[in-house]
Amino acid sequence: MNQAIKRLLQNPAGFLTPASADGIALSSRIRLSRNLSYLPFPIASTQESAARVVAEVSAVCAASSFTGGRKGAFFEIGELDELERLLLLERRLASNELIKSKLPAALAVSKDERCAVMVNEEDHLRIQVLSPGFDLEGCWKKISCLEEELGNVLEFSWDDELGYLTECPTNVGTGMRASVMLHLPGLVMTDQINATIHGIRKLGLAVRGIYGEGSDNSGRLFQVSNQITLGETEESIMEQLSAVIRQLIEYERRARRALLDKDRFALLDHVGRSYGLLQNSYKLTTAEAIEALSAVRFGVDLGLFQNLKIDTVNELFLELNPGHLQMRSALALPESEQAVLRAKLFRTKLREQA
Amino acid sequence: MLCDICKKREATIHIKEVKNGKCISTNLCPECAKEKELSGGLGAFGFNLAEVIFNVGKMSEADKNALPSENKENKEAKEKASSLICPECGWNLAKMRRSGGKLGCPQCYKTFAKWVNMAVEQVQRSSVHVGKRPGKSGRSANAINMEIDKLQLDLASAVSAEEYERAAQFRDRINALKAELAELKAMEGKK
Repeated sequence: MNQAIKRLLQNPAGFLTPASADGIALSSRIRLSRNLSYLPFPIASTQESAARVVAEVSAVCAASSFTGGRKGAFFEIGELDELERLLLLERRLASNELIKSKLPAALAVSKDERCAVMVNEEDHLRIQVLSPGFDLEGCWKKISCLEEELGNVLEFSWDDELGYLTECPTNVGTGMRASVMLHLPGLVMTDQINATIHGIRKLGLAVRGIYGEGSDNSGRLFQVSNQITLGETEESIMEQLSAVIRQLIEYERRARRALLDKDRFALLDHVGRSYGLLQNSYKLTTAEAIEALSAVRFGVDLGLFQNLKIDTVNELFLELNPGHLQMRSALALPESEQAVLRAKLFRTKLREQA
Repeated sequence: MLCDICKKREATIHIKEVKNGKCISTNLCPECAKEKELSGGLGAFGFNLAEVIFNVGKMSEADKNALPSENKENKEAKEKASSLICPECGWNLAKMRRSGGKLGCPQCYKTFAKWVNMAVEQVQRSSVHVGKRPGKSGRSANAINMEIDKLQLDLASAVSAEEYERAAQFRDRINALKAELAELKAMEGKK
């Protein structure tokens, strides 16, 4: 196994831990798209020009105060096997597009896994900063510094009118996408989620389910992000997004109170059964585990479990994924065997904190 | 009134949008509106960029075809467009269409300016960047001035709508930007 990957596995994921006091927002993320001005964008790259991008960016990342030397790790995607790539994806350090890239591609990661630079994804650089909870401001401060550090050495493609030039005009200008991941079981269970999503989209923001759309979303996890990247400052884009997130959190709180008032026992039963399923199964599929864990997380937020910590629940959301399960057992396993391992993981973890 | 897309059925859905100070109205029949919504393309969001760019192109072409006198000119324009190739990276409109509206290199923004502008107009709030700029000094005086102008408009509209809390926020932001501007000028003076 790649030594740096092994080190990642020994630490909790930077974007989830420590969990914030507010149980509704799981994590925040900002990414900036940047390209080198003198080379074609990845989509029009040759193997040679893409390799040059990797070489130049890797040199800068190696000297960066965020990802350089012992402060971080640098991965050439081509040197990783399939499971190692899956692990980076599940930890939200790499995107699907990056790990499937046919060009030379790479990833620089800081030790705390909060900062990462994807090289040759849709753009030459996708700089990203993650943070647990609802903390776009913190992400922005950090990513501005990281971006300046890289921009002092690399020459980014820039136009006085259009701002930073990106492969897709949907990212041009600031090149910024800010997003917050939210757990919204209250809005899903009170059947308000589809109307809510519709409303948010009308405001010019994007909403996507992490495990499906709207009420069909088994994990009840949603990501809300900005769409517009040109014509507004980064701060004003973030402020508009934050205002919507604050409102969503308030709606979710209200929905939770309504659920408790209306039929307390139905809700307790739902959470209790889900807990029982996770604690006593011998085979669990990914979808089953996500659905039940989402209900248990809801229960933890409501204060129904004395000993089960929200950090443990968040960690399980990560550990239940195929990449993590297989990497921990150091073996590629068929799905049926993964289900056995997954059930064992939940029995052990939940009994530890029963 | 007839639907803007099919130009056959009666338009019953009317959308008014204010973009860059201009009011744009779109009139659709229920069938076309539904189709737009299903393909995720109603309004500027949840769209497929290629569809937005090229359908708009196609629509105006259809319009032109309806007028026989412009047929020849249109054909020439079409031929000229399809032979357009970026001198820097060899990108062309066919590749742009296939990739969902993506570009090959920074130079493509100039080569395909007409298409880029169409995309930007559909997708973005305005066509001028006002955010972070390269270099440590942050944003240029020009960009700050532009944001101040924009905020002053916002301030005026907030005041006339009697939203004083929002107006106060705009005022504070304007003052902060003016301070930033003064600092920038002082720095340039030193240089």
